[in-house]
Amino acid sequence: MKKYIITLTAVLTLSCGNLTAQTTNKHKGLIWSALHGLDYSFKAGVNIGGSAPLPLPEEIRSLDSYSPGLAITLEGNITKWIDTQNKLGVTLGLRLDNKQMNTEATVKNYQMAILNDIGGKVEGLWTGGVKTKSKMSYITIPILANYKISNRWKLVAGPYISYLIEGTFSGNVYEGHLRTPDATGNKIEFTGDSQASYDFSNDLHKFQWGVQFGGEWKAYKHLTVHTDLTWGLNDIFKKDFETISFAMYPIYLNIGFGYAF
Amino acid sequence: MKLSKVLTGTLIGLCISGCIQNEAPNVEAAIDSCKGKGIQLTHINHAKKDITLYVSKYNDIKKQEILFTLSENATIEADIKDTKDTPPYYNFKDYSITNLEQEKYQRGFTVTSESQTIQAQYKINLLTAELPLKYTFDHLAQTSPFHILYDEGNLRNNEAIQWTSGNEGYENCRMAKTAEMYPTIQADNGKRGKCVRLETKSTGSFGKVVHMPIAAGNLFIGAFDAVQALSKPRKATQFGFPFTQVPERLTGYYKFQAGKQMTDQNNQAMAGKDKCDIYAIMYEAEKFDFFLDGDNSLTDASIVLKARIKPEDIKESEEWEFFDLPFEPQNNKAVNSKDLAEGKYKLAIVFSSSVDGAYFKGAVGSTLWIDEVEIICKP
Repeated sequence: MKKYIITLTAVLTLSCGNLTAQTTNKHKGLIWSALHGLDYSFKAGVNIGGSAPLPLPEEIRSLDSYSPGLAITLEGNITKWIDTQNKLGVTLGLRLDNKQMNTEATVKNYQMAILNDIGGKVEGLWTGGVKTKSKMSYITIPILANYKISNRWKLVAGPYISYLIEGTFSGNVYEGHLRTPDATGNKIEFTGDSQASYDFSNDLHKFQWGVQFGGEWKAYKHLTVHTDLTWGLNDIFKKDFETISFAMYPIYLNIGFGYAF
Repeated sequence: MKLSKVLTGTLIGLCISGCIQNEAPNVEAAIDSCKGKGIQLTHINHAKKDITLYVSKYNDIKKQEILFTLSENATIEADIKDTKDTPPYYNFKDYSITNLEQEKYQRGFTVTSESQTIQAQYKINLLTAELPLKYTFDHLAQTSPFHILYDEGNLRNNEAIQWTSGNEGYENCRMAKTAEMYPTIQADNGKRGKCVRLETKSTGSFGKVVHMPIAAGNLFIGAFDAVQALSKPRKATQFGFPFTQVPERLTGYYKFQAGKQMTDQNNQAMAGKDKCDIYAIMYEAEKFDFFLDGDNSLTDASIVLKARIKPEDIKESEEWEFFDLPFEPQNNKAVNSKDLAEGKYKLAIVFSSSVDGAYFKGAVGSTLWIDEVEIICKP
């Protein structure tokens, strides 16, 4: 987390420094850009949400706790206005996207498998508690349509593609029983301190795509506030990953502010 | 920002909770345990769906009570509809598969899940048996995925018993790719014929997270309750079988080699040298379903007689060493001949490659070979 805050501060400081140092040049550039219908902005925000199967499968009986973690996003983008009134535009962005969640859920007959250090696999149906910690860092390229409702308000929507830089998806199971290797197998009870951890980090899909839509409000001349919903449309896990019997989609709300040059 | 986060979190939480679907009927279909009047010991082979019930010879097996513990909301039915069945009482008398001299009865049962989508077919074997007095470790009842040994004495006296080990628990850690990699196996080069080899093994990453980093090789008369293997591992090893004679000595041959490094339940190195354990106990068991287990098999007040190798007498040797252990009275108790005749005592024989293996302390590599064991009784 610290890493990101430092990066964020560094980037902001640097960009402000650049601004003052190169006021004259910059102005020239910005004027040129404005004449060609181009806007630049830099945005920072947090992602709140989770990866979930849709609709929630009947295996999930209750969600007992949820915490989003502090998942920071940083984005630089360029918008080209295509009509004469500068109402319609297209944005191309580059975003560092962190998506996290910590959940505790109660499940019934949840298909799962755990691997040990020599690759031995215990699989079966789990009934009981499941704690999940997921933390994924993506490089995301959104391509968005813009529509300005007013000078202060604009709506954006469009697809995005993401590449996973690093990700973890792990957790443990507790208070319940495993029926292994299948529904007719033997029962192993987990109570009290007996827990078993799992780690599916290596089964995360590198590519992710989806759609996002949201709005942006210009609070001051250079300061914008935005909120966007990003909705993943492919499973976060690889195709051949069968331990979790259903696809999980990352759905996150991004809230933040930006600097419009 | 903080408030909005909390709000959004709550909203997402509410939304997801709101989307929770109706509970589906359970898909599990399995027998987790069998009890019942006159059942002395239950061996459940979950992989083969084969259950052996050792019953008292005084039982009326035309009406054998079997109380099944099934997976939640599952149902069970005998495959052959028999008008003499009045569950939980089942007629086994007419289903004899008697082989050699040992009387054996077998019926098929089908368990159906609550969802009606999954069925499991079990064979339930019923037999009466007496504990043999001599054990050669020459016979295998199962070779895969792990060895199960059995011994038979004089079959005219119905002397036969299947040995039990913690192999079924070890299976859960998925460290063994072949039967020979399990802690308890039948081995060549016995004192005579084959012998049994018990070896303390690592349980790998699974074992470490549950504070069971090692599994001692063990072999005993009794049952292993796989359900409790992880939550209460010492309760999972249930020792003993009814015995109607007064044992005097436990004799046999062993070879022992201690592993290099002792470790504790957290896999931390410990000082000291590993020892094996060889013992037998006779204890009072008013009811057949009373068992001593890994927690109390050496200390319980019901113990009447105990024969155990002394730690200082254990030799590390490449050659077979003879042991001759007298049964000594415990808890100021004596064997009551009336109770003895009524089968109210149980005898347990236990071997382990690490004496504190039940507490997950021991040295990986400690190996105990055992052969030609005999219970010598008072004439």
